[in-house]
Parts: sequence; C-alpha cells; structure tokens
Amino acid sequence: MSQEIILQGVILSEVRYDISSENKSSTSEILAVEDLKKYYPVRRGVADLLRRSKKVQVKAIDGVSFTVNEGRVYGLVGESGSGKTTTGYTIMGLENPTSGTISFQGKTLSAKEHKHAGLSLKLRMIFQNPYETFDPRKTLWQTFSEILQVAGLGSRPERRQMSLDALSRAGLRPAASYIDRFPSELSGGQLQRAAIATALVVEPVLLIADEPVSMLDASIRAGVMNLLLNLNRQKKMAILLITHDLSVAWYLCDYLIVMYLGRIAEKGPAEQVLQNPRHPYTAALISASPMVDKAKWNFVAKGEVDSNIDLPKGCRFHPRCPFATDICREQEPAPEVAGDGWSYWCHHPLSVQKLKN
Amino acid sequence: MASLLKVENLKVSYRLRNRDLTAVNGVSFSVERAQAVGLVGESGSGKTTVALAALRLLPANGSVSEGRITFDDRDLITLPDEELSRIRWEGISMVPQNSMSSLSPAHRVRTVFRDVLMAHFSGSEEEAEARISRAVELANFPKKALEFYPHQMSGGMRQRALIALSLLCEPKLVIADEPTTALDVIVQRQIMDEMRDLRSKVEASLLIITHDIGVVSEYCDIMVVMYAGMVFEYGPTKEVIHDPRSPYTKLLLKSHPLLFDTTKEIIEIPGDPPELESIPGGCPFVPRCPYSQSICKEAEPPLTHVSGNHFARCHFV
Amino acid sequence: MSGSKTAIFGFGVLLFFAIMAVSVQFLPVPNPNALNFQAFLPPSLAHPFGTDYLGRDVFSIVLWGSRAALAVGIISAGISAVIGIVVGAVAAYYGGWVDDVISRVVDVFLMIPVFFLILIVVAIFGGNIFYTMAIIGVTIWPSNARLMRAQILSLKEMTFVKALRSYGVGGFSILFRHLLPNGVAPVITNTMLQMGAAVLIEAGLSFLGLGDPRVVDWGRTIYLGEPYIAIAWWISTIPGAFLALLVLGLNLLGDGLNQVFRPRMRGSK
Ligand SMILES: Nc1ncnc2c1ncn2[C@@H]1O[C@H](COP(=O)(O)OP(=O)(O)OP(=O)(O)O)[C@@H](O)[C@H]1O
Ligand SMILES: Nc1ncnc2c1ncn2[C@@H]1O[C@H](COP(=O)(O)OP(=O)(O)OP(=O)(O)O)[C@@H](O)[C@H]1O
Ligand code: SF4
Ligand code: SF4
Ligand SMILES: [Mg+2]
Ligand SMILES: [Mg+2]
Repeated sequence: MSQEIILQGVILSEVRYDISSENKSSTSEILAVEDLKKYYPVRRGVADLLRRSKKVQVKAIDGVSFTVNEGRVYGLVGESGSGKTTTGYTIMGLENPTSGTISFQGKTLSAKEHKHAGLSLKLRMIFQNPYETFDPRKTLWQTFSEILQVAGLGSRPERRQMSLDALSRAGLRPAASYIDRFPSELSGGQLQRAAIATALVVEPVLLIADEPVSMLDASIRAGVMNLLLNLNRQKKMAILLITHDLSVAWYLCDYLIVMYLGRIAEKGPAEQVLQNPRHPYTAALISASPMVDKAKWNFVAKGEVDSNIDLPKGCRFHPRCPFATDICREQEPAPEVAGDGWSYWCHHPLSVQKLKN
Repeated sequence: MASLLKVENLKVSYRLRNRDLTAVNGVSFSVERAQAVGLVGESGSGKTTVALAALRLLPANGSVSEGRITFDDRDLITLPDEELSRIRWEGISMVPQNSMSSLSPAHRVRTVFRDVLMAHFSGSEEEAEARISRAVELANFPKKALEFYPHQMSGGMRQRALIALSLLCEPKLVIADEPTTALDVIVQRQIMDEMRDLRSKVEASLLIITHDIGVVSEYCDIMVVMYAGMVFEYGPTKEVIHDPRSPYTKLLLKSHPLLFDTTKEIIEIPGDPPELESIPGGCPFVPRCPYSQSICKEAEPPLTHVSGNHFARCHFV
Repeated sequence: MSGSKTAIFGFGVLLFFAIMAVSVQFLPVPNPNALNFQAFLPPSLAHPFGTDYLGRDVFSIVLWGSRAALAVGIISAGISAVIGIVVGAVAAYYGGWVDDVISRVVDVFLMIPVFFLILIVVAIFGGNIFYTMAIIGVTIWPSNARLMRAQILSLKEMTFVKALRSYGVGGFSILFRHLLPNGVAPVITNTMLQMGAAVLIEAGLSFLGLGDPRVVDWGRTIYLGEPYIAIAWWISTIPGAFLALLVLGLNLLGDGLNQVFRPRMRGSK
C-alpha cells in the first residue's frame, strides 16, 4: 500500500492509503460516550452574590454522544470554544463530567477507574499546547523516564533506549541530541514532536490528539500526519483527532464529528460529510478553509461564536446561520439520518442544490 | 522615505551548555510603511529569533553577533535601554508565539492591560479606559472577557487578548508570531481579516511570522522564506507562489495539505530539518534537496536576483 | 540587573558571617567567657572592640556570637520554610476543605502578634536557645505557606500538570517533584528575610533578659552593656552594629533574589 515514487531524481516517500479498499467490516467498539455534559461554574464577584443571581454555568459540553471503533480515525472538529478539548479531558478523566457516561473497552469509567495506572497505558492524550505539555524544569529524558517508570516499564538503560526510539520515531533525529534538553531549548515544532513521543512510548489503544499538527509548519505537518496514519494502520491505534483544520481531517479521518457550542451538529463518514455536508455549520467551516473553490463554498458564518453561558434558544447556530427561520429560533432540531452512520441536527439541511449555487 | 524596519545581514547565536548555535545566519529584509510582510519557514528556522532580536528580547543565552536592525532610522542594536523601552509597545509591539504563557495565569486580563498601560502611558483614568476599549474593539475581543483569567478562555480569545494588548500603545509595527496557529479556520479568517484592516485603521505595518503558506498567500504583500537561519526566497507573495525559484520553496508549496485534494497523498519533504549545530559548509538544504549537485556541498549558494524585488537562494535559480 | 547585584552583596555579607562563625575557633582570640581582663577597657590593639563590665573581650564575643545568630537564623527560618512549603502546597493542591482549614489557621497566625506569643512561651519554658529556635520557626511559617499556596494555585492549572496526571503520575509526586520546584522561588526569598527576622527576634528576647545564658550571644551583650552606654559605648554598640549588618545583608539577599526570581514581564527586562 505504501509506494515510493521517483521525482526528479530523488525518492520521496509517499504514503497512500485507500480507505475504500480497507476491510470495511465494522471493528469492535472501544469507546462509547453517552450524553456527556460538562458545566463549569462561573466565579462571580461579590456584587453578583449579593444580587443572588441564579447559578451561572459555562456549558462547555452539553450532551455529546459518539462511539469510537478500534483502529479508526475520528475527527472532532469545530470552532474555538466548541468544547473539543473539554471532551478530550473528560474522556481522559482529567475533568469530571457533570453527567453522562464514558465507557472504554466495555468498562464504565468512574473517577476511580481513571486513576488506575493500567488505563494510562491504553488511553493517551497529546495536549493542545506543546509549550505547556512539559514541566519546564525537567529535561525530556527526565519526563520520559518518569512516564515509563509510572507505567512500570524497563530498567533505567532500557527506558533510555525506549525514549530515544520514541523521540526518533516522532521525528526528533538524532534523538540523542534532543533528549537531554529542557523544553525551553526546543522550538514549538520540536516540542510537538516530543509531545507525540510521550504517547508513542507506550503505544496506547486510543490516542486523543488535540490539534497535533496545527503548531507545525507544512513540511513537518505532512510527516506527523503520516506518522499518525502509520500508528493507526500498523499498530491499529484508534485516534480521536481534535482539529479545526479540515484539510488535515480530509487526509486522516474515517469519521467526522462536527461540534458547535458543546453539541454535535453533524457526524458521519468523513468524505461524505465534507463533500456533501448537511449542516450549514459544516459548510461554513469548509468555506473558511484556505484555497477551496470560493464559487462553490461561500457559506459564511456571521459574527462570533455565542457565549456558552447564555446559549441561544432553539438551534444554537441560528444567530450566525444564513438559513435560519422562525422554527430555528424556537425549537432545537432533532437528529436526522442522512446515511449509514451519518446524522445531523438541522431544520433546513443543505441539499445538493443549495451547494451547487 | 526609508523603510520602517530594516534588517541587514543579521546573525544571532545561542549559547548552549558546551557549544554555540547560529540560529539566524545573515538575514536581510525590510518592512515598509503600511506593508504586510510574511516570514515563513520551518520550525526552528529562526523566525522567532529574528523578531526577538528586533525587540532586543533575546533570551539570556542569545546574542546578535553581526548585522544591523534599524527602525525608523534608529539603530535598535545600539539604542540605549530607555529609548528602546519606548520603541517597544509604542513603535514595535509583538504578539508573542505562545499565547497561554504570555498571560499571567494569576491575573485577570484587565489587570495585565492596566499594568502595560501604567508602564507606558501617563494619561488620566478615563483615557486609559478609552485606550483599552479601543484596543479591545480593534481586536474584536469581547469586553466582558476582560474580567476572565487566561485559563477560562479558549485559544482564539487569548489570541485576541494578546492582539488587543499589542495595540494598546498604538504601535507603527505589529509583529505577530504565529497569530493564528492553533486557531480554527473561521477565527483564523476573521483575525487575519481584522489584522489586515488594522493597516488601514491605524496605519500599522505587519510582520507576520507563520508556517502557514495559506495565511501568507492571502494576506501578505511580501513573503520571506527562511530555512536554517537563512533567507531562501524573498519577493512579492504572488510571484513567489506562482513561480518559486528555490527548491525549498517549491517543496514547501507542494507539501501543503489541501482540502478536497483528490489524490489524498501526503507529500513530505524528505529528511529532517537541519541541525543548526552541525551544518556542513555549502547549502544547508543539500540533504533534502532533489536537485542538489556536487557544487551545492562545496559552496553556499548566494541569494540571487530573479526579477524586480524577487530573490532566491540556490546555485541553479 | 540591580536585583542580582543586591543579591550578590547580601550574599557576600552572609558569607562573611558564615566564615566568621566557622573559623572563629581557629582564630587567636581569647575565650569569650573568660573574665581575664580589666573591665571597661576601651578599644585598643590588644582588645580591638574593648572589654565589657566583667572584663570579657568584646571582639571575641562578637566573633563567637555570630554562631548563635546564624544558627538561630538558619534553623528558625528553615523550620518555617519546611512547614510553610508543605502546608501551603498541600492546601493549594488538594483544595476543598483542606484548603479552607489551612487558610483559616494561616489567617489566625498572621493576626496574632508573633513576638508576644514567643515571649510568653519563652517566659514559661525558659531561655533555652533550642526552644527559642523551634518556637520562632513554628510561629513564622504562615507567610511562607501563603506564598507557596499562591504559587501552586496558579501552577496547578497548567497543562503539564494535566499531562502528568494522564501519564498516571500520582498527586503526591506531581506536587512535590513538579510543582514545588517550579514555585518555590518566592519562598526561598522570604526565607532569607525570615532569617533576618529570626535573628532579630532572638536578640530581642536576649535583650529582654530571656536569652540562653550558656550561649555567647549579641543580644544579651547589648542588654548587659546598656546600663554602661555612657561610660563604655562599645559594649552595646559594636555587637549591635554587627547584628544590624547581618540583618541588612539577609534582607538585601532576600530583596535581590526576589527581583531575580520575579518572572520577566513582556516588554521589560
Ligand atoms: N476551567 C474552565 N472554567 C470555565 N470555563 C471553561 C474552563 N475550561 C474551558 N472552559 C470553557 O469551555 C468552553 C469549551 O472550551 P474548550 O477548551 O473545550 O474548547 P475547544 O473546542 O477545545 O476550543 P479551542 O479550539 O479554542 O481549543 C469554552 O467556552 C471555554 O471558555
Ligand atoms: N533559548 C534558546 N537556547 C538555545 N537554543 C535556542 C533557544 N531558543 C531557540 N533556540 C534554537 O534556535 C533555533 C531557532 O529557534 P526559533 O524559535 O527562532 O525558531 P522558529 O523559526 O521560530 O521555530 P517555530 O516555528 O518552531 O517557532 C532552533 O533550533 C531552536 O532550537
Ligand atoms: S436549524 Fe436552522 S439555524 Fe440551525 S443550522 Fe439548521 S437552518 Fe441553521
Ligand atoms: S543550492 Fe543545491 S542543494 Fe541548495 S537548494 Fe539549490 S540545488 Fe538544492
Ligand atoms: Mg481546545
Ligand atoms: Mg517560533
């Protein structure tokens, strides 16, 4: 499946995967998220307390359900503030859900379950900001050594070798020249690779990757995308890819979950959703992507994301939606099925006609 | 009129525990008034270092070893500290690369704004408030969020907060280091549109540091491509994108992922970015370059004139 | 810049006293407790700082007294630092009722006049220098706890803490191996200031006659020399000057470190 082509005298390694030729029979489900909610209390000043205003909450995620199958790549996409990272944190047990359930490999994860060391070997996350992923006072080696020690893996020299391998597979080569550096001695891209290596070093069943390539420049981005694809195809690692970059999702994802203000707007097979979105928000995301056909993709989401403290009534997207009508302002849309494993939440879904003009 | 910011043959090196590292190796470019210049290049190519050198904010182990940086005809490298601190914020301001750690986690955003104003502005309370309002408005930062702590905001809000902060003292040049990295496309488009509008609203020039060719191609007049601390291509953006002359620029453009690319091929530039500590003589792109010849290993290619204001570095331009 | 200069000067002063305390036993000075000399001798070549009302060599007392002063400073401030760091860190990291309880205790401690508390305790238990050090230590830690708490509160929101938790690193380890080293700087600074304060408190106790009679001590010398200040100014004044110098040095070191450690703000150097 991987081939090498000769281009003007050099070998460019080119990885090409054809999803349609993959074994399409459904793999087993490893993660199920059910009606997940996470509300944060808003700290208010004394004046507000005196006024006894009702409890104010940020609804970071507000009823999200989806499943992840073994060995597949899922894209969790949406604008800033739509709750993607919070979803990742809650799955990882780094935040306690307000309500809803998370089951991983058949087990419902409680706060206690999350603390279990075995879980951290199977469930890993790469964090959104590589600058903040590492303890600034520890060298990469100290961090990696601790990761492996906590996981109970290897003797000291073995741990060193495993760390070097992981760094080098993540593209920090020669790893020996990076491993003893402090985080402040690496550039952003180099840190992101080191962050990926913290997950590689244990080879989890499910990797939650929060914007893993958005900090990286194009040439490295391609490398990391291939790296993630390889992990997925060769190690059967399922990936929940949190990204705002639809072009990255286009290359990597089997499925897409489009989130807006803490809710899912549309989810389904990635190619179909991107080529033929039903939800106006999906279309707006596509239209804002650089270098797309501006004639076809001209759906503009007006203004700003609304506050998730005072959510708009009805469809959350209505203040920005070009197709909003009265019903949208009143009634929250119910899920509709658009195809196999493909659903959307909208009163006036886009049709092929709407897309053409 | 002379250029607003002029960087000439800048060399910057960092001292590591047992060796020196040349992060910027003879970079020259200029930013004219009301112009937007894009500095693109791979991670570690020295983009941030150039900006930090221009503001004399290099970390303690970094130093300018050669070259000149002039702003409004004043030499920034030899300028006394007091004058320099005026130029920062009021002349040049920077939106730093790392938006999270640039805002103190223990303080509300408003406190940070006040502190900055206090240090650089001696007006009345109302004037200060008006300045904050104006900056916040220009950056489209919701005024309510001034009362937030950084961790309560999402990435886009923090970025807007930093852009607003950089506008407080009405600078002539805003250096934005990866202003839209890690922001979603809709916000990226909005922020870049807003930054472009800044040029007409407050007549500020922009130096945009990014790895995103999409951003540069849509928003910058001039494009500077850096590799291994050197300028590999320099010229009007359209010209560089349609007719790249250095092999590095060519490959960089090819590796850019595109939505709806029918082949779904992820093309990497082979090999790794160079290790700055051990660049052999000759062209630093040799190990990754499809066109390299024996001369490339021996001699450093010059920055060659292509046409007009377009230059490219390669022996075979 | 000036911060590091201040710190270096303060450190120099501290070093000077440390060398004095360590090397005094090898110096050719008379026994500070020996009553061999004539009383009230003014400073001369033989007795650079004169003699006191019992004929003891003040120069020798000053040198030997540096030991008690430094010991009190280091041990009291050390106790305070350890308690303050642990208590503040635990309060901030675990939050909830732990934090509420600890914060109340800290507030109470910060409200009561520490010197009088110590005074009462020493008056009851007698002037043993080890008690004194312990009592000073266990009464002055709350400011350290408060500093540590503030640091950990902001550090624990950082992403690397989430990352460590996701690796399965335990709370104890995160707190003591990762958060503490990142946030301890202000406590170190404060500890320098507290060393100075502890030295002053102990001298104050001695000056009030509550010192340890077995220990050669600047405070008691000042106290005992005070009635003779008109006829023999050197007995009180010279040890007093050394006391002031040590406290000044510790304060400069603390202030200097404070400036050095202070996070560099954007746009300023
Ligand atoms: N600790 C917190 N306290 C209060 N509000 C929070 C907290 N963490 C997140 N939020 C809010 O929850 C919402 C969702 O945030 P989240 O970080 O999950 O968004 P995101 O989709 O990951 O956005 P981005 O693309 O900017 O990373 C935002 O409005 C944010 O302000
Ligand atoms: N404080 C430092 N000490 C030592 N080396 C450093 C330091 N800061 C940066 N470097 C090195 O200098 C080179 C240039 O770094 P710089 O941050 O300027 O790159 P950049 O182009 O901004 O990269 P990125 O896109 O990843 O931000 C890198 O190789 C980096 O490792
Ligand atoms: S329900 Fe109405 S407002 Fe919401 S996305 Fe659909 S058309 Fe737009
Ligand atoms: S000089 Fe040689 S190695 Fe360098 S870019 Fe040109 S062809 Fe490639
Ligand atoms: Mg996020
Ligand atoms: Mg940079």
